[in-house]
Amino acid sequence: MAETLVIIGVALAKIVVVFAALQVTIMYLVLAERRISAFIQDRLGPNRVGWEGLLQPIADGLKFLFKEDIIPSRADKVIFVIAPAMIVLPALMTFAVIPFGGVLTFGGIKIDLQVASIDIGLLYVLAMASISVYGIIFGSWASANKYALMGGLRSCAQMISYEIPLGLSVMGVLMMTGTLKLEQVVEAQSTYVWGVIPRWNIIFQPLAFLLFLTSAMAENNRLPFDLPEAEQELVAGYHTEYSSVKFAMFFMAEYAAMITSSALVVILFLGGWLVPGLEALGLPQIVKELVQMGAFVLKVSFFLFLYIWVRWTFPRFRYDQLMRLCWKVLLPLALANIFVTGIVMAM
Amino acid sequence: MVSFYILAAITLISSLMVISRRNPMHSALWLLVTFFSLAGIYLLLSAEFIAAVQIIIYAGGVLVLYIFVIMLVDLSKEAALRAAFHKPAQVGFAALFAAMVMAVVLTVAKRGIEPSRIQEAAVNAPDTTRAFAHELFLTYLYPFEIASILLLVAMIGSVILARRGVAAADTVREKEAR
Repeated sequence: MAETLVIIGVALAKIVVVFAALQVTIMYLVLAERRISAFIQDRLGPNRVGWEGLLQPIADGLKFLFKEDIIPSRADKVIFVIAPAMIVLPALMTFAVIPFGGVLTFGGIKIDLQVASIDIGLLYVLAMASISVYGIIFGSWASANKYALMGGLRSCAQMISYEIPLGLSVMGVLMMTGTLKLEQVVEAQSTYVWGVIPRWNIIFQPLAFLLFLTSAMAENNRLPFDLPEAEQELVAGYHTEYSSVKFAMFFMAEYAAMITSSALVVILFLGGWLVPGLEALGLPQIVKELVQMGAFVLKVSFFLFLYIWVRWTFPRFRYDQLMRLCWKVLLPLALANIFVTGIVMAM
Repeated sequence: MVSFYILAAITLISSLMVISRRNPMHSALWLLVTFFSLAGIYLLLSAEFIAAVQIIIYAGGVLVLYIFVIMLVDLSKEAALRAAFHKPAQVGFAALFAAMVMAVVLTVAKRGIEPSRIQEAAVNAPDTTRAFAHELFLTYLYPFEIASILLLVAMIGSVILARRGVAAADTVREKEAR
């Protein structure tokens, strides 16, 4: 009985901690984006609220709460209201299967540093990515606004197109590790080539890494793939009619999706929480786990920075270029990668 | 068992909503609910792979394409379309097709599916995904390949049909230009 209670308590604690950590990261990611974009454009950015603008996210959040919530009179009210939830939910749910560390032993209780370990982890992630399009589609359609509808149509086409190279680029990793469990994918990368180079998947699957990174950016509608909300043509695209907290939810979902895909890149290709040569130091187990968690956060932060860096460096694709890149470049390359991986593994 | 009845009820109610809603977008939303509750039933049968594929392919792919079409079709012409789909031949064909589907469903329901072989494979493999792959790519390889060729044929056929319309429109435009 006591054991069951401990298990339930640990599970609940993990859910709360991961959820809270995700929310705080989203808040500060927005601030980071604004400061880094300002740095890239030789401006200062928000630096007045609190020390170096550190309280800015709280001010923004309060502002969103007190703004008037407008529902257009011709909108489909029910769908208009549930659409923001439909986009936030998959973005947050994906994080449930992301492992962010090994096993932490704490006073005799073993804690897996992952909310839920499921057999089909990787497929679950792809499934969540594929349903994240619904919030955008239904939100844009329910707004009864032509700019929103155009944005929704574009994202519809873009997201189902880029899902294909996204799924296929993972295939090479899947073939090498032979498991869909994300924590086992990480553990498979813990050995060394010639005793020195860590056996991270990026070494054997460099093409898949680039394909995955590109498709993930397109899947999250980030620049240079942000056609669904191209300001110059579509005002604000699918969230044109949204205001107040509903708008904030669209915003949150975008950043949550960025964090999840950065975490996935790290897990699939960069050894997750592993630090090369850490075992050799002989640190106490708990210190080792903490160092590994820190390493995971650092690796993920690098990719978050990359997302922001790319956004403020490259111009937006034109629609036909976007489709050509997906179907005529990324898709054949992803198939070729699977083919070559298969041949090499058979030899 | 309780969860099965809950999921089954959700599936049936949402499917009824799909075919009874006036607005096609509402139908699409209810269809999404149906797909999710079906995935839940697959999970209860511990077919995790099928459940994930159900979401990825049906909810994430097929339904998105439906919605794409709904958004592009001019719904104000619904009355004209309704007349076009009420010719006797079409109604007869629809009835025949429905009868065929029902016959298959009833036959399977009466005879029952034999899950013994699949269970055997599942016991031997470390996870259900592996067991599924084993059955699909070794035991049922030929039906699987034939099904994929069938899909390819359908795809090529639809591309040709679509191109024919485009080509016809082009010739009309050329004539008008002259």
